[in-house]
Amino acid sequence: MTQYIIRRILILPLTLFGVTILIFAMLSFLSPEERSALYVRDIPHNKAAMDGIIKRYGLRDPIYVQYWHWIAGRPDPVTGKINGGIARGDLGYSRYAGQPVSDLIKRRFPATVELSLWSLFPIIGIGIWLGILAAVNHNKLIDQVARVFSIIGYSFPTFVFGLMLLMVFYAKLRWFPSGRLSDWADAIVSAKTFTSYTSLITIDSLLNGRFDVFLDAIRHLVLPIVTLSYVSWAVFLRVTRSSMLETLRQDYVTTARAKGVKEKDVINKHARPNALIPVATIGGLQVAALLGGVVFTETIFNFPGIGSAAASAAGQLDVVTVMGFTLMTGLILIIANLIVDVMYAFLDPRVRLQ
Amino acid sequence: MQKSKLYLVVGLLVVVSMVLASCAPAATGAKSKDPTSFVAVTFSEPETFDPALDYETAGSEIIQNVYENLVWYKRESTKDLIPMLATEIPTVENGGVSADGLTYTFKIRKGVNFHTGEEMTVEDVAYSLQRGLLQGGTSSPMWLNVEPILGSSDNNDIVDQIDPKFVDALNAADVKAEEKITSVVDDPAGLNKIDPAELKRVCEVVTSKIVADKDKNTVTIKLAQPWGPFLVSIAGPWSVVQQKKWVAANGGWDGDCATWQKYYGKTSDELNKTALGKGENGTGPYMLDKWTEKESISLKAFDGYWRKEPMWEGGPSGAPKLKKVTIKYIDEFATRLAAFQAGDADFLLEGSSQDWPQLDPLAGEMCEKDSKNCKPTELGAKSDIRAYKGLPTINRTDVYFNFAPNVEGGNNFLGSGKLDGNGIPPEFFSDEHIRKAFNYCFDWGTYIKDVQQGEGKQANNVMIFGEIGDNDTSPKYNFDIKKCEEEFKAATLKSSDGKSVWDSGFRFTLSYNTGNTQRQTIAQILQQNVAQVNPNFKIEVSGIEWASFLKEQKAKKLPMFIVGWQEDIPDPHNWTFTYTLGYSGSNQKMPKEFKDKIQPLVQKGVNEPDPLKRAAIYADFNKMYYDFAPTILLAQQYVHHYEHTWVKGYYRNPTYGQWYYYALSKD
Repeated sequence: MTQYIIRRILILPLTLFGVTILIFAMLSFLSPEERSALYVRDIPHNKAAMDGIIKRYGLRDPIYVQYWHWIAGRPDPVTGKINGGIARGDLGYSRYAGQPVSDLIKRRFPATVELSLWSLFPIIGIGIWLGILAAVNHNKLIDQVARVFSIIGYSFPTFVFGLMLLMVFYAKLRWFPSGRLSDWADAIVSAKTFTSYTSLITIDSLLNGRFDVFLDAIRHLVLPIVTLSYVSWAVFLRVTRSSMLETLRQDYVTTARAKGVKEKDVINKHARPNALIPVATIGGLQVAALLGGVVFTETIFNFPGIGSAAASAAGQLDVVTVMGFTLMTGLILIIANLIVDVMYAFLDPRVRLQ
Repeated sequence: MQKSKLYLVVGLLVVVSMVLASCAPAATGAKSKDPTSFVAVTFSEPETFDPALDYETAGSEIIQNVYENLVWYKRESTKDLIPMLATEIPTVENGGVSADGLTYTFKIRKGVNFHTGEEMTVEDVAYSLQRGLLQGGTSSPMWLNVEPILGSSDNNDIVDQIDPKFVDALNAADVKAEEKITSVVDDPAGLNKIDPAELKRVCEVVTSKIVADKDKNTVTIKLAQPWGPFLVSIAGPWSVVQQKKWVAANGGWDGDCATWQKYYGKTSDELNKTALGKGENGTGPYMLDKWTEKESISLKAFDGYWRKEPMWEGGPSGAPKLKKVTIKYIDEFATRLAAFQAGDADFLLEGSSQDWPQLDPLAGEMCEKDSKNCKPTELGAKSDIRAYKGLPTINRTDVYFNFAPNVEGGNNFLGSGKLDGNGIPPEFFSDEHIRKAFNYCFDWGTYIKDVQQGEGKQANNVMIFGEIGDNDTSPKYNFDIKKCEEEFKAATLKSSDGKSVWDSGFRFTLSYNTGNTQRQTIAQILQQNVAQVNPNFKIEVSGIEWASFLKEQKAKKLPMFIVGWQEDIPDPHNWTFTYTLGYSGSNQKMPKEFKDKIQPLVQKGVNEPDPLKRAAIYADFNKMYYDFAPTILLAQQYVHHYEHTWVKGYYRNPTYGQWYYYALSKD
């Protein structure tokens, strides 16, 4: 097991760089003028302006040279000082966000983590609970309702659902605002007297003794969580239901019942742990997907996470930022997969023995 | 505890905390609870706060609230100016302007402090204007000061002052002609290789033209040519006053002519790594509190603000009434609207005129043009939203003909590239009759109704309404299918086998940047009307991504393109120059013959100080432009503004970058 984990960790950097090389290779299809679109808001006032941009940012350099500059840094044309270079710990400058890429990630990632963590419980907890309920009550009314519920959730576009919630619960009822915090709470969190331990506002507010800020943060999380959860429940419900149904048909379950084990114990102690093995895979991928940022939800609710930032950067061809996010997302996915594989080994003794 | 009970307890805790949270004090409802705090929701964030570089509206908004000019606009007027950091507007009568119009002397106000608490000096004023010119770069707005102060030149940039022989010295002896360096514009590396003595000389030209006199407490600016719009150029955000000491301490030019070249052509990513781009130290009523990129900018009132007297009659004075201003950047319109409806925002910037039908019915009060003409709607007191309509703008979208699209490497926009029914030749729009035909084929009524929601007016001339030279009686084209047909039939262009345009037909692609529904609709109007005249006249309307659009635009491959122009200064020169000799004219490859004919009128117009004589010159310009028809001048749109009814003091000055918060207050 240890060797397996070490092997997976060693492959990680190779995988990440493979992805970045792929992205850079695709860039070679864009002309320098198209790449310059990142640096101009409107058609430049004269020819020299765009030529200056192309020269300044080395957009006409061969792709391998641009890639090398991204890795090792680029010399300043006036001072000669080397700027950037991920080998030097610098992910570069985000032109779209107007700040270093690493600063952008550091600022935005905690918001995504917070949204993901708070969403996980309803997504996984309720999704699994509904799936088990549906399987145990196979073909009864609860099962039918749960299946319809999952179809609607699966087919309902996140964007539409989120906008509906926004209009009703924010614009009309004013219960749950968009954004991450109200202005008064943001002022408290930004103040020097507020200590950021984790960068997760819900946790930090409690650690700083500010229950009012905690409640405000929760208010802002409600709608994004509901939007994310409703669409994701469907997936967990269906997988859990299907896995549970299959498990309940197994011989050992029949044996347990024949031995007089209580039905509650048959389901919870015998069937459920085994039924949850495939759900673990989906759970891991779900976590990775959430941590990679949920673009629509973050955009609709103006939640300042990684997803909306990555989408905007890509839309503006901010290559440096996209590369930074790619590295980060790749890392998360690989680690998530590794954790899922390890979890499998713990959940399923057969895998451990293998 | 059993697991199931544990899950139940945890689940209940989560639900209870959410319910408690929703019962917490709700966001502001019908009334603003904090009259000292203001929130605006918009999109499009500033690029930088360095006034020497920033050339877009969002950045200008912040700059005009934290920095100040020598003179500025009087409330909503785009013509009348008030003294700001100067104590009076220089005129010939008061001796502030020399009789030949070449020397402007500004008397500088005393007792004005920067946000750091230090007093502004005349050196700071002179330095700010010098620094702007020397930092230059064609991406900056500095060309607006270069033209009057240093004279018009190829790039309207400081580097044009360098003696060409020094630029030529950068070339190797055996350099190929096409690779020869002829200018170091936007090339800091190249500039820094120029002979230092020559660079020093160039800087000294600038410092000799903008001179501070400590004893008289004045700053004198010597122009290279008489310049009618000079004062409005000084009123622009690129001409605000910065503190020399602060700029130098934050990595900017220190005023030494031996080093200016190190600070030339800075980009926003370079400047934004320092306080020059991310911070400020102005004299304005507001200070920058915090900038959270892609999220919000907070301003706070400057307690040491100098103003004691009202800016204009009934205008603001003393400390700002709004102590805190937050501008939130939210890309998604629905999210902005939700925040506005919930009362969490006082101002809302809509995405486009397409949003008006959704917003107008929400208003309880509708104002026509300004706050003096407000009337309740059917909703009345049930709504706390106020809407303004009919507000002026200083921009316009027009259709431009390319007289000689580039065919190097092929040009897919021209179809076959010949007049054979499947394409057009590159010289297609060189035919005056064809250009006039397209003018007659444009339906302004449909455009104003469908795109501008009925709130627009067909342009009279190149310059916008109300400016010197604009005249309702000027000749202009109207939608006339019959005349369109006549002009197409009168076209002199022939196909290779001698067929006329009418008989051979044509096809070309008219592109717009994807997502811009206004430009798409303009293209479709032309497409439909031209096809109606002759079914063999085919225009393919194609949306292309911004990056590709930019590439094709730069390569001058588009035979016809639709772009907007927003004036930098409220003066007709900003239009006459741009549309003939400058930016647009260059993109159109305007024929030399026309440029040679119209250039004297453009120059005379800007040099003439007398408004009546200017108007006469521009009347000749307008006639010449109308006859040549190098564009289809569309319609100027009136815009809307949305706020809550508790906001007081709003007015619209279209030359502003968005809003001026010092003039506002809340109930």
